[in-house]
Amino acid sequence: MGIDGTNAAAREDETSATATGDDNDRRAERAVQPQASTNDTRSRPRAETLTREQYADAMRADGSPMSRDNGPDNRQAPEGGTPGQPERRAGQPADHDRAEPRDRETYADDSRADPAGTRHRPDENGLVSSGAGPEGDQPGGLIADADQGAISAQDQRGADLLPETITFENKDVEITHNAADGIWIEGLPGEPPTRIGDILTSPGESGRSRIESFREELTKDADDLVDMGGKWTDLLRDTLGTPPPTNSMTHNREPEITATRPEHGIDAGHGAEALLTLAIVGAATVHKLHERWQQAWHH
Amino acid sequence: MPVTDQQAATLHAQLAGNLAEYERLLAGLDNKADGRGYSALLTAAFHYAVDRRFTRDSTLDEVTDFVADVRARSERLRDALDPRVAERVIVAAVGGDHVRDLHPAESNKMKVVLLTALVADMHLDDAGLDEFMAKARAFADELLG
Repeated sequence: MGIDGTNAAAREDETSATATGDDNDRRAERAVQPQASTNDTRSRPRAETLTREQYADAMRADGSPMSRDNGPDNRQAPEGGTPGQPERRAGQPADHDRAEPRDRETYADDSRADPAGTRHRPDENGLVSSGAGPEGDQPGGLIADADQGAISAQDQRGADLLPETITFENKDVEITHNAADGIWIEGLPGEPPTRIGDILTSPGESGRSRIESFREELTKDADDLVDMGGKWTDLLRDTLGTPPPTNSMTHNREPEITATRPEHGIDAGHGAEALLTLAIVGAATVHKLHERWQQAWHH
Repeated sequence: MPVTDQQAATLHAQLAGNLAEYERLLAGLDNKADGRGYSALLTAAFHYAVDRRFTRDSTLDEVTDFVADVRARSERLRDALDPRVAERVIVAAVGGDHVRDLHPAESNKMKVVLLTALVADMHLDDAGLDEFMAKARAFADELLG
C-alpha cells in the first residue's frame, strides 16, 4: 500500500518526483553506467576484450550457465574429475545442485501449460484476501492468519494453490485456483460469481481506481478543513506531548508563596534571632562576672 | 493546482510540533482556495504515514494498540477519538481505501490527530521530516493532477 504502491500507472512519474536516498543512489548508478563505459572505450583499453557473444559462447563451453571456476563450489577436483566441478555422488543427476533443474525452454513450456503461471494475484490493488497478502510492496490489508507464507511460496513455484475466499467488490468469492472453474476478469459487466477458478485484475486499472478513491476522499473532506483545523490544536498538543506556549493565559504557574518550601541560607529573620540570642547570653555572662567581682570586693 | 508552499509549510509546522506557527499559517489559508490542496496534502500524508507504520503483515492488534496509545495521551484525546472509528480509518487506509460513511469533519479530525501521532512516533529529525513532507507533497500533487 501507500504512495509507492498505490498507482502503478504513475509509478515512474512519482518515483522521479519523490525518490530520495537509496532511490537516488540507484538512479545515479543507472545514469552513470553508460557514460562510464563510453569513456572507457575512448580513453582506456577495455578490461574485457571479448564481445558479449564471445563471452557467452565461452561460458556455454563449460556446459553451465555459471562458470564453476568462479562459483562458490570451486574446490579441489577429485581425481579424474573436472577442475572446479564438485564431486558427484552415485545416482545423482548432473544438475542435482541446481535450484531449478529444468532449462529455460522447458521451464517456460511448463509454466505456459500451468494456468497458475499466468495468474495475477487476486488481492492486489483493493482485493482483500483472507488467505494471502499481496506481492511486493502492494497494499494489502491486514493479515488475519498465517497462511500467507505457504501460499506465497506455492505461488512462486507455480504449484497448485489452495482454494481461498476473497472479498471482491464487497462480495465474498471463493477462488478455487482451478482453471476449469472459469476465470472472472475485473470490469466484466454483471456480478462476479460466488465461486470461480480465478480472478484476473489489471494492476493499471486497479491503480487508477485507487487513485480515484483517494481523490474522492480528499474532495469529500476538503470542505471546512481549513476552518476546522484550528480547533484541533489542543488535541495536537496532547498528541505531541508538548507543553502549551508560555504566553498562553492557561499557563500553569507555581504559587509564589508556598508554606512547604524548604529554606536554604541565612535571611534577615535568622540574623535577628542570632543577635538576640547573643545579646541575652552576653548579658547573663556580664551579670555573673559582676556578681563574682562584688563578692570578691566585700571579702 | 498543485500543493502550495504555504499549505506544505502549514502541515510541516503541525508535524514538527510548532503549533503556534501552525496556527498562524493555517489562519492565512483560505478555505475556498486552499481547501482542496490542503485536503490532498493531509490525505496523502496520512496514507503515507499509515503505510510506513503498518504493513501487510500488521495485525489488528497493532492497530488497536496504536489507537489505545494515542487515546491514553490525554483525557481530551480519549474523549475526542472514538476508538472504533479511529481503527476503521486506519484499517481502511492500510487497504488503500477510506471510510466513506464518515462525516468530513470527523474524518479530518481523525486524519489530523492520527497523522500527528504516527509522525511523532517516527521520531524523525529535520531531514527525515523534510523527506516525509516531500513524498507526501508529491503524492498530493499526483492526486490533484
